[in-house]
Amino acid sequence: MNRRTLLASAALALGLAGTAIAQDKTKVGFIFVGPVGDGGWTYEHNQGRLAVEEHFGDAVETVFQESVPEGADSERAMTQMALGGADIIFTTSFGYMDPTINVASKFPNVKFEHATGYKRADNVSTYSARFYEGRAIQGHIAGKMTKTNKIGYIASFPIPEVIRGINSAYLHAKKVNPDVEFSVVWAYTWFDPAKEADAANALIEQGADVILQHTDSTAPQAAAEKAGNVITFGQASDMGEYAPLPRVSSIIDDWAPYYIARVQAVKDGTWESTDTWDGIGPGMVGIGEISDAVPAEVKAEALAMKDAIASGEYHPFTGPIKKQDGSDWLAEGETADDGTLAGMDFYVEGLTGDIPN
Amino acid sequence: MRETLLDIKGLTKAYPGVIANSDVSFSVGKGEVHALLGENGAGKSTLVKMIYGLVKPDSGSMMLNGAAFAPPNPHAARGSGVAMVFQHFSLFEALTVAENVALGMENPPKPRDLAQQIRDVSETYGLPLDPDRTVGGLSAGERQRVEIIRCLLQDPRLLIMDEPTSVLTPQEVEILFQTLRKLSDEGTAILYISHKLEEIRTICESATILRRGQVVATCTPRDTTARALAEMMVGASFDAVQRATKEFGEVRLKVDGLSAKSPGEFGTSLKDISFEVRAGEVLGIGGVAGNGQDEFLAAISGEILTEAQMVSFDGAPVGTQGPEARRKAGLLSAPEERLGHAAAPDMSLTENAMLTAAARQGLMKKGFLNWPKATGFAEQVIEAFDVRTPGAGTAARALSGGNLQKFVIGREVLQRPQVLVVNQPTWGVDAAAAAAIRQALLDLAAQGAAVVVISQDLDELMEVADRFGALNEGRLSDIRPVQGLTVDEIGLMMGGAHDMEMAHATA
Amino acid sequence: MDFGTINPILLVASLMVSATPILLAAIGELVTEKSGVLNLGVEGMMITGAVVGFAVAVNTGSPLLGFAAAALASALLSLSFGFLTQYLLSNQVATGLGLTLVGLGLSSLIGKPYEGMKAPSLADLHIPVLGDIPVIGPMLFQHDIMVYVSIAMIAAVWAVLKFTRAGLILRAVGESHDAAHALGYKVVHIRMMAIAFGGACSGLGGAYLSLVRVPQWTEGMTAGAGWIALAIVVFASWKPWRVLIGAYLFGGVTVLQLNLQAAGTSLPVEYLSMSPYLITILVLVVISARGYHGAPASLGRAFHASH
Repeated sequence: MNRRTLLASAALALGLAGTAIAQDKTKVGFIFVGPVGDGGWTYEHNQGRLAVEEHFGDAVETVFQESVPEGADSERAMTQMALGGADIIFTTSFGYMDPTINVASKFPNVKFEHATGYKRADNVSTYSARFYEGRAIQGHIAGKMTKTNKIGYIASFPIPEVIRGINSAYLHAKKVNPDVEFSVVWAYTWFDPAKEADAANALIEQGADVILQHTDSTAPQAAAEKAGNVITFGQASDMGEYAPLPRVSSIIDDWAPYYIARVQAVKDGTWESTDTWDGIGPGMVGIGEISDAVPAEVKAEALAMKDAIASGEYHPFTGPIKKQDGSDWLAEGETADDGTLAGMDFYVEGLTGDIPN
Repeated sequence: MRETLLDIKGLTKAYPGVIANSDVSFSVGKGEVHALLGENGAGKSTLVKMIYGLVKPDSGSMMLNGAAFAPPNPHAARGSGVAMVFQHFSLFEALTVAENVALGMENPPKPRDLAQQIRDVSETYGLPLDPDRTVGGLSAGERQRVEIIRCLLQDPRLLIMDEPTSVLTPQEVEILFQTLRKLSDEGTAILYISHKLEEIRTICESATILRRGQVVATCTPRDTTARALAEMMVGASFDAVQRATKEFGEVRLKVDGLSAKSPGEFGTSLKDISFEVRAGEVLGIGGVAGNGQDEFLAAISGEILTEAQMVSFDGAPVGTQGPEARRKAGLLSAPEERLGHAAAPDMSLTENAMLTAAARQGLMKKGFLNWPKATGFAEQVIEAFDVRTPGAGTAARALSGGNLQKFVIGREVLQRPQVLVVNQPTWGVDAAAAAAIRQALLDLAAQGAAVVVISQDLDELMEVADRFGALNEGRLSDIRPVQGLTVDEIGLMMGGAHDMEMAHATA
Repeated sequence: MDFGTINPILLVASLMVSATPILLAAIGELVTEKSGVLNLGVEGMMITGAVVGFAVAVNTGSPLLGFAAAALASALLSLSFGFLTQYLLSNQVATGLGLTLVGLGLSSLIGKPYEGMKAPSLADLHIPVLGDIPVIGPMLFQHDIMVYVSIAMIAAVWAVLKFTRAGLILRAVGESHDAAHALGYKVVHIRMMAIAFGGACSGLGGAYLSLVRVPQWTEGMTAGAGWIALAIVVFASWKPWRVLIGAYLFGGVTVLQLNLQAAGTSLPVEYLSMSPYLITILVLVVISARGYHGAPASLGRAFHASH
């Protein structure tokens, strides 16, 4: 992300527009890692922001800063926002974790909400979505539909959220197709269309006919479409413009209910530091329409799995599962606890390659 | 009487607030060497820029060879046979000699032919030059040859030379004069701009003297004394520099085996320099520009750090100390480049005074700046050195070169240094002010300071220095008493005519 | 190293595609900088080219018209930079950064309706004879026209700078604007032309991203490519062929490392991931280690004709 540092610093210098003083209004700030038009992760957070505006009308004012690099720059952006009078600030990328904690300690009266992290404080809540539930469904479809038995996975950074997704997808693909192999490419970026396209092309050249992505742009979709005979899944957002092929389904983040509830809590004075981790059941993770390119029976199985996960009947990490090194992780029938999942730093048995540090 | 080549009638050019030229008229004959004499700011530069098409006159007319002449740009001027050798700013350091020459020509031939032409002309006029060398690596004298050859390749009818000898050794000056005489014999007129009176008396047949934008006199230099010329130029008589007879005291500055690499890409490294300066003594350092003067000053001021014992001040080794520590102890300096090195262009005179005088004048207490006191000091400098400026709050950039020079030198002199090193102290300063600056340096020495004056103006060095040495490619010549030194000896100390002996031996 | 399953033909072919956007932007910036102007707005001009090229190609159905429009739009944008810095003498660094911000903002505005749309594709040429050579044919001679345009541009810039009077004057202006002015060259005019050329090339580079390499329009899609182009110009010591080497190395190593990852190499991903930056800088520094390789002496300095 360093390449964008200079640019974002310049953006900071221009300041945040509209920091007018309006004490009666609740001021809600958002820090975004990509542009709001990325069509993926940041796009959906911004949809949540717009939902907050629509829900509360004149009672709130929202401000946001997009394309903020993770690291020191984000600390500056948050500080500016807090100084600008924000009552609650949502910091929407894993890499903002330590900056959020640092800035929060300097502004005890401002509430912070950090997405996908695991560090909390009296005025810092964490929230995340159980994307791995959606990954399980993707894995199932991928395992059923691959002809080359090679599945490409464009990973962003080696953090627990991404590793969970890889593990979950792999377990469910393997379950329905024992010959399946995963190739993971670490792009080290959340958003760089050209690089994401290159990564997709590299995987396709290696014979992958399914591409899963944990990066935010639609570039891999375009690459798959150009290559033909490759299927993909929308990430964070529906990416429906690539349906029915190559995009056959998607994971959709829906942050709006959570954002509205938290802003309401600030207005009511009932806000407390919490750790929220919701999945398909409460609606924080949505499964985009499974297109007709997927055979009807596979579609039915996938939807059945979705319902089972939503009702709590099925947990995607249910034993027996071994770790990559062959040691036991979950015994028969045992399900993973949230603590282990939140800090997941290992591959499950069968995945090749090492997780970078 | 020669046939008239260039005839100028009533040229006037005004800039906001200044009239650079007012109703200037004179004429130059074919093959004539004509001097244009005047102080800095007298309007010489503007006048030649009008002839060369860089500046358009407000009114007045010019005739060249009997035809109306009003060049809209230098291309047109060159097309009409006018060429100019600039004092500064006309060479490109990263380009080769041939490329530089090509840039100054209207229709340059193919590179290979051009290289041959350069060789031919340089042989004809005794100006050796390799067309493929990069200009950045050339000496000042060689650079001037590039400019001259660039002009000669276009068979000019009028050659304008702006302060051509300021960068040359006496031997090189003699060679230049031979070239000019040869050109003159061939019918090329030369408009020769200078403030060096003896040179003008040597080479020029007639002179036009400008003062404040107007022609004040036209004369034949050979029949006029240098002093009379100077007084016409300045418009008043001024005091000649007074030298007190003196006795020298202890060694204040000692440099021993100083070697230092130049920090700049095209700089000159210093090689094994040793000398001493005693209290009350003025040491003059001559040499053609670019032979290590800047590095020499930097090594003594502390901008270039060396081994400790290479520079000693009052017996203590200071080679490893930075400029701030040396200033505090009383070793002061004033570099050549006024804007950007000696003074920060956009800061006021008060702030510039603060920058070098904070420690010695007590302008700073416990890290806090005493601005009223700094203003007082700046005003003292302005007063004592007759710096013409609206006040101490004026930005350094806004001062004319001469006035800023007076300020920069005055600022150091008034700090009562024990050792003062100055580079080109009177560069671009009018004759009266130059005399005042020289007097101040002599007075400082008389009060017991050791003074080192680096200059390219040999007359100046002969006037102020007790002993003389010259820098040549980073080495310092033997140091000799000024009394009894001849021009030829000085020239040899400066390295003679850089790589020109060969050419002359064969010519 | 395990190149086992990587197809070298596809690898070379995709590195050429991958390098082309940076190559185009860098050669334009090289010309701008050679004239003594530092335009840090490459990123902004690229993304403007990306969106305008995409929009025009979608609306006309002609990718080539898209490229032409991209070059024109970015050239116009760069001329606004030129006007501010050359006539109003604003600070080049600040203005360049501002240009980037303007470009990013403007492009997201123009691009809104085009998100998720598909652009007409630029056909690959099949160069007769050369394209039929086994291995080398598909590697080098079956690309789209812009790949060859970009290489031709390098050759042209090199030749113009080295052999023509126009190139000499351009370099002279970049070396010393005072000297060039004294000799009667129109410094500001020449610089405006160089700025416009740089803008046009950046626009082509951006359009190549949105029309060929990705190919789609996504907000912020240049994602730092402009900054890479700027860095390559510096590390290539302002020499056209070195810019080519730099851009191909960077593009090549990026593609190679992704391929190595996809092929399941045992090399640690951390090193692979930083390798494009490291190797490009290292190679360019090594080939530039000897000889004169300074920046144009007037680079970034404002020129004002004094009397």
